[in-house]
Amino acid sequence: MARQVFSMPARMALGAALSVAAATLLVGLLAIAGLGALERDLDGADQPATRAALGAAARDRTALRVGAIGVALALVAGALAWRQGRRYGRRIHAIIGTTEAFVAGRPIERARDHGGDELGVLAGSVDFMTDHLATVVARARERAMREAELEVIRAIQGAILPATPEIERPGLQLAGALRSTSVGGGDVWSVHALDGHRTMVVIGGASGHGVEAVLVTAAAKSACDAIRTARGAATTPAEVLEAMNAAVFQHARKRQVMTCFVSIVDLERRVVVHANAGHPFAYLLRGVGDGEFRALTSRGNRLGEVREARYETAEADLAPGDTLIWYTGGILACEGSEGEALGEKRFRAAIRRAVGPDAASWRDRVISECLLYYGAIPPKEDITMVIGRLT
Amino acid sequence: MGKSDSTALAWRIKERPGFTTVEFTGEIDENADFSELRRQLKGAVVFNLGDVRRINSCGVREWVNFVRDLPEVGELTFTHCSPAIITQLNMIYNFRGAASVRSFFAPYICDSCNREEEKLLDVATHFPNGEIDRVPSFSCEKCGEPMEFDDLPERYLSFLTEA
Repeated sequence: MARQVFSMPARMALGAALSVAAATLLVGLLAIAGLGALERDLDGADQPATRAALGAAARDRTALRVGAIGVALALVAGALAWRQGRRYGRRIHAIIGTTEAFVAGRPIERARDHGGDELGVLAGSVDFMTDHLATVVARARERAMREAELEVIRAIQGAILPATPEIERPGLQLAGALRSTSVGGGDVWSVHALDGHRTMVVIGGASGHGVEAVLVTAAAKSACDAIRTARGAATTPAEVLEAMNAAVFQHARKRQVMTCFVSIVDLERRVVVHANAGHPFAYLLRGVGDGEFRALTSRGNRLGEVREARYETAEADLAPGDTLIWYTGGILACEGSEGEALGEKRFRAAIRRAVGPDAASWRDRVISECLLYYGAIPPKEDITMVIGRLT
Repeated sequence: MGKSDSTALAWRIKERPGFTTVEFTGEIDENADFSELRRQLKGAVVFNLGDVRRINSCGVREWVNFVRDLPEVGELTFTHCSPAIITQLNMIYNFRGAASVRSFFAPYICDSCNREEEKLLDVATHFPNGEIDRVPSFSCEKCGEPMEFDDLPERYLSFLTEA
């Protein structure tokens, strides 16, 4: 755009001054012309009285003409100035309207002034600024909504997760952890004392992320609590899953599903009884270091997939010093720097390497090993695991 | 298929005498749309699942809905099941629908030279009675030493015990 020699206010003042000067010049010329005509009339008059009368009349006429023309010229100059001012005023109002709409949060109508002068440049700058600010505000709103959603997720998780991540039961030391992703996942774990020697451990994860996933989890957890309260010490893993399935099926209406693994550690019978709703098999590690891994295999429909779900129940013997490891699929699915998921094999190796003196330190070390594998890539899934050591 | 990247799910249909083979490749996720394939399948059908490298939870839902609603298919067989497919077969009752599993890949490792390999196991040949306490043995093609089954047999092979 060509650079302007005069600024807009200077041009307005210059225009007005030129109008007044032109008017004054015209009035002067007319007055001179009127006086010339008077002199000619006087030269032609014979009598002094006649000359005097003619002179007075001619002066009056000239004064009237000059006055009329002056007024007309002033009106024209005023009209021109008013028109110019109105044009500029309209453009300025358009710019002010854009900024006011932005400040008031109304839909922004861009100034759209394509004039080549400073006002046009100013309007273009305002349009650019409002566009930029609108993008910034939209991002801030999005971030605020995400933060608000995360607050809701944290509140729900706070209500459904154990009050403390380390739980001591007679003969069983439990330590769990849930590390949520930045968008919040639908993982959950819980521990229920059924009686003096039986402890139920529940771990699961809803598909997807965000509030919807957490609400599915909350519905399932509520059903779990309800059946455990109703059945007390007689609770079985399969009936817990059936109750949870009914809740998720009702709540999510097939839009979402959840996997879940329910175990009852019975230290009187020295067995772990379990049922599975499409969840990765829990591990039983007999001995530490080079100890032998066993998978707790049981199979069933994922929660919420079908109304009439089937859950088989299985059990495995326990021995003093055994360790049980429950986890969710996210821990296996998260990828390392090479783009390869952690997987079962690396996870088992991490468990072996991370053996700690107690369940809590073992859990922390396993998670550290996994995070080391993921490297700089932030986990896309929740990282959830529970370690149970028979003491 | 919608996605154009190399991980997108794709399939190739091959007509054979008396049956149809469908070879799947890529990842099964929420973008998987089997509606067109469903309409094309009838009679005896074999799914070759050797190149399905990943399947996420939404993909499982799409797959389960697909295999349980194949009205024109009389007999369904899975062959060359990849480890990703085996993982789901192990955990989820209805993942196979009415299909039988004919063959699958299993992880093996050579402790001598650390060579890892997925071996194709035939269900009828290697597990004639559905018992999983013995796994087939192989020799390493690199060093000749015996290879070991590189997973927990009761975990990886549990789908063979499904009633």
